[in-house]
Amino acid sequence: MLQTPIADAAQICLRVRGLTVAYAEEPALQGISLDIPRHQVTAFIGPSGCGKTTLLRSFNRMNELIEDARTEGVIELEGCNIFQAGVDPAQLRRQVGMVFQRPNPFPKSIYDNVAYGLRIQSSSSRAANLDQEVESALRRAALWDEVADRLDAPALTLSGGQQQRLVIARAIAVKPAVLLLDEPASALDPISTLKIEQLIHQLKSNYTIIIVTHNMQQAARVSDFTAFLNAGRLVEYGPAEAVFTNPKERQTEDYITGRRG
Amino acid sequence: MRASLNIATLPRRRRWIDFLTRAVMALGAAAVAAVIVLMLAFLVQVAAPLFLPAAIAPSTELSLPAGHAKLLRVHPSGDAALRVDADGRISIFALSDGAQLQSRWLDATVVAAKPVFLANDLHAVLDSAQQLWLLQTVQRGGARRPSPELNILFGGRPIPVGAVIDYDLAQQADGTLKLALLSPTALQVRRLPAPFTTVAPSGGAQSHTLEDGAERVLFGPGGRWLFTLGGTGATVWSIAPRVGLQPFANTPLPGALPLHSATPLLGRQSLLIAGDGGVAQWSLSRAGGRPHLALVRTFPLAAAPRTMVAERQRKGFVVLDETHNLHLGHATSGRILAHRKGTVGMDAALALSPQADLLLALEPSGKLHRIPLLNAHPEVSWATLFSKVQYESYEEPAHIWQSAAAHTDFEPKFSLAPLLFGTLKAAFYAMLFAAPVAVMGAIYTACFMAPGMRRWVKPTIEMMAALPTVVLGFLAGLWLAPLIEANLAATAALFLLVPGGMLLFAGLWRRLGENFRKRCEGWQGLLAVAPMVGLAAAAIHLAPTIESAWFGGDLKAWLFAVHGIDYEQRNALVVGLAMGVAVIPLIFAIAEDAIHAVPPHLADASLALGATRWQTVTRVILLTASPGIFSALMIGLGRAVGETMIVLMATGNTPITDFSIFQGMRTLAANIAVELPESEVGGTHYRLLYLTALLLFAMTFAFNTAGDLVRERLRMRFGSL
Repeated sequence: MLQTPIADAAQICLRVRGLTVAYAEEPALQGISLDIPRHQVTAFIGPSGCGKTTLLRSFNRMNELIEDARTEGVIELEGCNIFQAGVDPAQLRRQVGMVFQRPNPFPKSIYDNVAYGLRIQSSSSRAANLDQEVESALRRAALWDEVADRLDAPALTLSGGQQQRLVIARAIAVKPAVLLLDEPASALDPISTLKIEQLIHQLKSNYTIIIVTHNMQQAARVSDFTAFLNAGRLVEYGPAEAVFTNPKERQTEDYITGRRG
Repeated sequence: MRASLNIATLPRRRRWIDFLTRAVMALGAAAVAAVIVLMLAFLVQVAAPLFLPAAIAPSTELSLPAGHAKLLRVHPSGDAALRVDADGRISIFALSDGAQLQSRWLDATVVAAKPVFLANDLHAVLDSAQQLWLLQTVQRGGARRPSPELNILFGGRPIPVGAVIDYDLAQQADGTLKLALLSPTALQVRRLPAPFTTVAPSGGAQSHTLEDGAERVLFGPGGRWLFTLGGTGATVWSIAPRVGLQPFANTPLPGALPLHSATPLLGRQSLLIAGDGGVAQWSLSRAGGRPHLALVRTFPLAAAPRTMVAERQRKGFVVLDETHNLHLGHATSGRILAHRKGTVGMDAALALSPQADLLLALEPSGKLHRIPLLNAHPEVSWATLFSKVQYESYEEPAHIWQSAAAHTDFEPKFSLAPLLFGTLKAAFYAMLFAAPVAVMGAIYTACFMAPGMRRWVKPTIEMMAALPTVVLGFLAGLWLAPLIEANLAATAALFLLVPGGMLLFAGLWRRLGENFRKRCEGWQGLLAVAPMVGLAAAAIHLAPTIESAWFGGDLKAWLFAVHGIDYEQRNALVVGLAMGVAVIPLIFAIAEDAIHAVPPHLADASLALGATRWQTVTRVILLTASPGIFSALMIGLGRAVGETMIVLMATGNTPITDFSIFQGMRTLAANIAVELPESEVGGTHYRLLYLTALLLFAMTFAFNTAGDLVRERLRMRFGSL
């Protein structure tokens, strides 16, 4: 069942067709097909174990790192199938950045964390204005003002909320087209959460953002489009307002009103 | 009804368990700390006396009959002394109270008296009638009440010697005696039959004219050499049965002529010759082809030396100078160890007890000073332990460890440098082999190996640690060492081809089909085994061909001929391999754990940023695991330094300082294992071995502590664990 709330095909950034993922013959996603619009925030919601994180990790092929994971179907990034032979996962991941549930800065300095993605691309031209790139990434992640005077301090001395913004800065420093956020605020306090949400709002103009969240209010606040998954299947997908205020499916309504989940 | 809540006290049982657990833990920790401190205290307690300063204690005096003593010598039993006076009286007196045990008179006055070299209880007395009397002090009366008895050899008859300036006697291994006589114009060596036996002397008298004259004659080492002193200097003579008496080069003795006093040191490799500014040690040297006396070291003294006496079992000596001061010195350590100001008259005769713990000084007035010497370990100083020392009959100062020899009059050489060097060398070669293999193995196993294979590989390698090192040492010494010696070229080829082949295999792997690669992901290691075995077989097979094509058929001979590299069968290569095998499981296990414990979310973060697997490993995983890898290496190093059985069995135990991979070594640990069972408890050697144990303890402690400190620092930097 294809669900696409996007009329204009030119606005499609990611096109998913018939995506099925199984872990050791245990299906996690079954026949997902949807389109993700460019420079919008798309949220995946659903009960635990519904496959939303698996779907998210399919976009940068991180599922492949899991032993026994098997993927079928097609995901096109700007018209190009990311599963076809000849696609280098490392190159793909430079286009599709990811932020994880728990802040995971490297045990390096703040500066080195942000510069990491740039350095591994090992192009000397980029290394020349590394300082600028780092500053710009930290500014865009709304962290610059807090860390400008201690860029050489270990990243692990930052607070949890700061670490998460640092990780976002690290991800956007390599200038990806798509940013995947896997419950980015679930381990944070309300004030840090608010900052992250504001940040998502600002980043939207430059990046296609896909966010997985457990938090209905958060999904309603930040997303333009919302997809509800249940038991490995896409149940409903549409503009966030529509999904939250006037769900078409019974399952969706039950979930967002808290009757099940 | 409301149940009352008890939050004030824990249930009794849990309190008890808490208390017991805490007590047992505290006790265990305290016991561990106490054992370490006790061990340390014990080692220090045994080793510390080595560094106690020597001292000359205050004397106690006895009154004996007056007379000018020409010879004073303590009997080997240590409780009586022989005294030969100038007026011809020979007596034995007890050291405890001065009581005269025996006495007899010669018919003439005594000109000189001296002990016979290499004999314990023979003395030669020259009287004014130009006759030589041979005296023997014999122990009579059993062990309970020993009483030395005086005997005059050759049936109580003297040997006429003619007009002589000086003489010396040496007893040979067969019991016969050599008599050297110095007259103003000639040097003569005579042979006398063995006392009490019928062994006839071999060869007759030999003589040689003296052009420059001399004042003293002394037998040299083993009685095979003669030294004449005086005239224009010192001359070394050889006494070969066929060639006869043969003089070698004459060495000037600056500052020592005219001759005041000269005393041979134990073994007679060296003479102590008194000069104006102190005492000089001259040794028989063969440097430059011609045997001669060479100046080894000087012991400067404020006043001119008057009388000297050498120890009988060590290279120590006592000097009495013109200002009545006593000086206690030791030749090898090159030091004057202790002084004592003016207690003894200048003309006193000196004697040392056999153990050199008592000095006797007999003044002509009959006053006998008994002076205890506190000087248990004169050989040991920081300089002799760690710096180069000029030993007797060595061409130049050297670091040498030689604690025992076939004969008792040798010079012990106690330099710890060769042992320290050997320890570090063995550890270095072991780590050279083990560290790359273990760490790279750990990286591969933790980061790249398929989990199914890792489940087998890791426990298998860890099991290797259970292999007893004595088995490894045994295999290394008796199987591997001869094998490598016989197949040196093949060994070298293996070292080159196997790592090279591994790289080649990795290169080829990338060209294989992607599907196949994906299917075998993580199992490459297993697939590589067969090509590697094939390559190894090829290397072994080809080695003889290569050897004959490029190295003239024998790599060892080629190495020696072209590069001067000598090959020892039990060498650092064998030890490095065997000890490497012992250390690899240790390093591997700790390093693998550390790498595997790096949180997967860090690797995910790196991969999600577009890093390749290799970039992720080198830039994130190894960095995060570096404290663990470092401590693995340090623990491995500590183990390699302290390892005993393998080095004991596979090094050859030669205490040399040669860093060549084809030479052996002796390590501190192996040295303790080899020598402790045969060292005299409480002796210098015994205490020195404890000192080396302390040193070993300190070394492993230092490595572990350094490892821990660095690991803590790294952990603070990279500590996300």
